[in-house]
Amino acid sequence: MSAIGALRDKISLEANDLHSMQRDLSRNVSSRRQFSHQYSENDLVHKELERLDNDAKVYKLIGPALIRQDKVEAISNVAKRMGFIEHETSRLDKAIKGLESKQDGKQKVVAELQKKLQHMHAYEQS
Amino acid sequence: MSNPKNQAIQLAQLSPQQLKQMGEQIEEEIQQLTQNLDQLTKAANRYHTSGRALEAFKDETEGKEMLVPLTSSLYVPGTLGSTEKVLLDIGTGYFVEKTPEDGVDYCKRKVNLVKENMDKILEFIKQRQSQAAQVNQVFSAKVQQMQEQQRLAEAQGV
Repeated sequence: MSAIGALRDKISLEANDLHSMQRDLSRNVSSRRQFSHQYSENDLVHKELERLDNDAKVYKLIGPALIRQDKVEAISNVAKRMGFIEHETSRLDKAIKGLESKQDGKQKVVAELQKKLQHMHAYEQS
Repeated sequence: MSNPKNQAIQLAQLSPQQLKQMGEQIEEEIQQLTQNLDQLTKAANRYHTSGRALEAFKDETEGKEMLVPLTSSLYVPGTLGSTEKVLLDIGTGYFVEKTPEDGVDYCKRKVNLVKENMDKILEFIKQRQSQAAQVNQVFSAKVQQMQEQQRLAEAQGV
């Protein structure tokens, strides 16, 4: 009986681990999604700015105020932000991949332990 | 995924539970896509309204009297200032000064862009729906098969 109890404890420990991994993963996935939204928005702004004449008046909303900004400067700012977002997404992609493989491994461990527990139960009953 | 025949074979190998799970997953995805489509429709409508407003605006002259909405139900009298330039919000905090004509053009381009994306999503939804139908079909076939087997086993048992 104590062997079964120990196994049960171990399973619940591993299952908790698995849960926290899943939470981590979904957090990463949702911020990845947010970044890709931001990227496409910045991309649209970039394209729009590039269509403008060089003497077009561009303003940036800073807090409650619109500040005049040079078109070239605005374009380089948006490009810089896109670069940053690209960097972040590739970092998140790597993290997500790692977490997924870790989670798969953990899932296997939990499944195996559960199988073991079932065997022990069956053995005890027989 | 790309090969439908291949997919059908894969589906036949899945257990009923897996099939059910897969069906639910696809169903969820369809719901998400439908929501996105909804949002895009609203965005297209907003651009369309802005475009229409600009089109009405571009023929007006400076100094024309008008009512300015302070809230949706409170208006104060005012006069139209410059009609040469309008300020457009192009996203992420950037605003650009444009002529009303260019503004109309901007709105039209945006409406077209949004519509293109809507078409893509619609295509996606159709794809997913046919996949869901396939999964459901295989699922019910499996269930039927299992029931049949159970009946046979019971008949033999008696």
